[in-house]
Amino acid sequence: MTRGRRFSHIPSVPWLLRRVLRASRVEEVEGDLEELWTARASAGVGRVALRIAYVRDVAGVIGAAHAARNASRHPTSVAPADGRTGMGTFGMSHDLRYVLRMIRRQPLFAAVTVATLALGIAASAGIFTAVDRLLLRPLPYPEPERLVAIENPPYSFARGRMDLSPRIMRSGLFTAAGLYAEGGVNLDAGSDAVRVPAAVASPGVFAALGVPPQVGRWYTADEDQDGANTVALISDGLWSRQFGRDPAVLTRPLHINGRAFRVVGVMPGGFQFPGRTDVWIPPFADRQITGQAFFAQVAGRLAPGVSPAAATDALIRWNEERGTPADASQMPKVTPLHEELTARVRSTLLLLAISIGLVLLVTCSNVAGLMLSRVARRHDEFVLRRALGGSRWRLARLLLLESLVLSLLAGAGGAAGATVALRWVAALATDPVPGVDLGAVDLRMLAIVFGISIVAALLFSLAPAVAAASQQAALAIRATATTTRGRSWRWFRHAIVIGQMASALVLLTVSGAAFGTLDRLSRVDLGFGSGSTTAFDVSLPLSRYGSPATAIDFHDRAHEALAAVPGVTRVAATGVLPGDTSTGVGIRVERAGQPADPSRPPIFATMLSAAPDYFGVMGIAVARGRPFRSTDRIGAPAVVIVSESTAQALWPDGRDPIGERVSAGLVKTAQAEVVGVVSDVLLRGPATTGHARQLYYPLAQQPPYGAMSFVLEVDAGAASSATLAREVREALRRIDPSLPVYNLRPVSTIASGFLAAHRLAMSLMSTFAVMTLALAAVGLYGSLAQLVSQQRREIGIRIALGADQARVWRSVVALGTKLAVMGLVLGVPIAGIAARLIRAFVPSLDPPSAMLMTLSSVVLVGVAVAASWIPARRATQVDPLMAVRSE
Amino acid sequence: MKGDHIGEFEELVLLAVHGLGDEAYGVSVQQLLERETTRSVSLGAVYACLDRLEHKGLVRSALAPGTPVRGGRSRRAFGVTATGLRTLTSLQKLRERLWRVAPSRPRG
Repeated sequence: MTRGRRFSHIPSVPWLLRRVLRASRVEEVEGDLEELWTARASAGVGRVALRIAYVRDVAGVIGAAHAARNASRHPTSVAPADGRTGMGTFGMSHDLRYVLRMIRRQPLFAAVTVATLALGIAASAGIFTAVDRLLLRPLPYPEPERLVAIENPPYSFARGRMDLSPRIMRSGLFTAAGLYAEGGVNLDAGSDAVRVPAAVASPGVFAALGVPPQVGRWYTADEDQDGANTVALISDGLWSRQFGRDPAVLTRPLHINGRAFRVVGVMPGGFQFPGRTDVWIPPFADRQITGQAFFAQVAGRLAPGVSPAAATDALIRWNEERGTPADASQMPKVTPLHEELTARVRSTLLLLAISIGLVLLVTCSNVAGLMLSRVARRHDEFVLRRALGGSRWRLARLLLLESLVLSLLAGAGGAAGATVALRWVAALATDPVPGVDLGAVDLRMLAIVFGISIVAALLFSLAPAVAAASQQAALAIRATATTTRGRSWRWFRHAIVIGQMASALVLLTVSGAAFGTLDRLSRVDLGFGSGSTTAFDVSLPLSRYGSPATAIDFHDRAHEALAAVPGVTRVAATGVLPGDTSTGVGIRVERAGQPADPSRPPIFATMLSAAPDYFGVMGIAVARGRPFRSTDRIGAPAVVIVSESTAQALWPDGRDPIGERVSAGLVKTAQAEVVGVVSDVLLRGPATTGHARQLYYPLAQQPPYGAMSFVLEVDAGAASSATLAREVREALRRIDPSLPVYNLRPVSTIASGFLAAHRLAMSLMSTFAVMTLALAAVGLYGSLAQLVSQQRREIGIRIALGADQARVWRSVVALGTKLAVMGLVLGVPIAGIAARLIRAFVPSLDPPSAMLMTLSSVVLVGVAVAASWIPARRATQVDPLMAVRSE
Repeated sequence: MKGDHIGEFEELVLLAVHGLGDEAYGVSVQQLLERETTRSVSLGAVYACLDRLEHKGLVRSALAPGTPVRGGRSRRAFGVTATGLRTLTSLQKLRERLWRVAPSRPRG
């Protein structure tokens, strides 16, 4: 590196020098600093060492200037005789050296303080970053406050296609709006077909978001049609992977689901809506991606000056004018898009943020407690310093500097830990909010948390320092001989301990409630087993598998090929597996020949297809009748199997449904005979009980539309999962090489996946609770240990006067218990209120039971007794002679 | 006040100023001491010391034009005063006398 470049790097601090130096000296000192820098740089000193030396120089200069000013102000004070200093006045660099020496002398204290603070900083910075990015920061689109989600908007079904009613655009409420839905497509990429995340989105969605493509253009409303001239937009990522960022992409076809699409534009990198998407197509270009029914969501941009509430009111008025029945669940509703997108993680994140706030509070107070005990231990030193003429400010500065050094060390540790914490949270939000990157910790957030910790530590360490410093020296010296010293601090420390105990109780109770909820949910019978079963999906392009016959033929051949894979004992297929993102279609089902009673609400059931072995392989119990047979095919009599809930809804009189006939869907004449009743399956997880009305058709009579899921019963231990995956892909490739196999996963992951977010949130919560409990225990221990060492003389006298050791022991443990109980008295009502508040935004959380409260209290008191144990023992070991003499 | 009494560090700085002649200023003194004593000497300590020496009338200073290596900024050049020189000489004599008191003991 040349000297010139190093030169340019010299940090300039004239403002700082001007503050501490006489104006006439600034120039020469700056010159000296620069000369030293250059001398070191040309001697080959490294960049970092160069900077360290520079900071040291500047600090030294400031210290010298300070000393000089003090010397002129107090001509009688002891001027330092050489580079080292006496007690009177000394510069910041000396204070720093002194503090470092003190820290080195008590490494355990430093380690505990730094570790405690680092942990607190790491956890809170991680969680607060996630909260900030996911919940607080606006969406990365122009004028994000105008973006809204529209539920139950007026639709039009003109020309057989579902779209937003044209009235919505004429209303002036919105400047743009459109339908969108997430899915996936098969992309023919040279020799191999791959599955990529895709979305259908009407042109209005792009217009609403207002993000122009980096290459090309958006597609237009005229291009939204199912025809020869189909168009698509692709992501920046796909453009790189598939086209090597070739601008000629606009002239090349993209083969999606077996059809050629024309790429009209490439969206910029980082554009993720909805979710991670590689291909966007207009809704009517390919019906397959949206499944049998178009379950669209609606995004729009409000016209300037229109609030979401006003838009909601206007849409509801329309419904009333048209006489649409006012069913609460079908009401139009306009909400900020950001809220809608983060709805899934919002409550959990807020819960975590509040908990971590509490942890941070306890962390800070604990560090403060540690500092206090240090101050108390060094009381004599301070008194001596004061007596010898050390200024109040100097004493306070020493303490502040010590806190600062420790906080800085903790901050460094915390910054590293925060990245880990954030990774946990990122795992919690498995499907990140569109356009939000959770990769790295927010430096600002880290700085804020760091600042809070430092300020808290400083404040807490300053209070006793000022108290110590302001004591009259003579009084203070006399006070050291008595036992009255530090009484006010003791109460301060006790108050901290009580607060910590209360916080620990709140967190214990809430995390206990979260654990109970998780436990309850994990016991819920999902209706399917998860033995050694593997599942995977294939998507059947409608261009080649459009008719039921072709789909059934594919199923038959795939079934045969998969059954031949070594290790596979049974094969079955269905349209929708539990946990799939695409729901099955809800259809209206009636008893055949009986007109529906108009006074009763219609019965809807989820329509599913199942191959003969599906119930057996998935472990879905057949309660009555029989499963499907391989003879239940097109041409044979139409049959169905109903779930228990469906049976109860259709035949509330409890009669045997086997042999009864039902009609379902739009074609009322198509009747089918019920041949079996199977147990309810909770397709959407354990929290969705009461939504388990299902109606199964034989796959060979009603094949699923567009996509098929296979489940394989695998002989446990026959083959590794990697081998199985390879064999399965190979078997399918032989039937149709253009069909990628995706979502290959053990069925057991479906059940565990339902509770993954719950489980992670619960484990974070309990980690916080245990952390808080440990911190509270350390706080209590420290407080009592300090008390015992301060009261050595009293205790010694009591023992000398004949108090037995058990009594002394009891008195210390009793104090510890008293503090814990006071914490309980404070914490129980807070925990009750907290639980109620939390339930308001996490409805699935069970309220803490009295049992749980009691249990948490017992744990807390137990921990308090344990923490009092060592100080109490130490008290009983006080030698009365030594104790009295030592004073 | 300490009067004529000067500490070890002050003596070293005073000697350095004397030895450097016209080239004695903050950085050169600091560099010389660091090189000869092989211990880290802070610029601040040198400044403080020079200030004290000047206060005691042992050195005097004047602003001198800067060089390119310090960005053309002026520097404060120090020189030993007559009192300073006397102090140094008397300190040296004191040391020599003390060494002569113990001639038979091995050095070091």
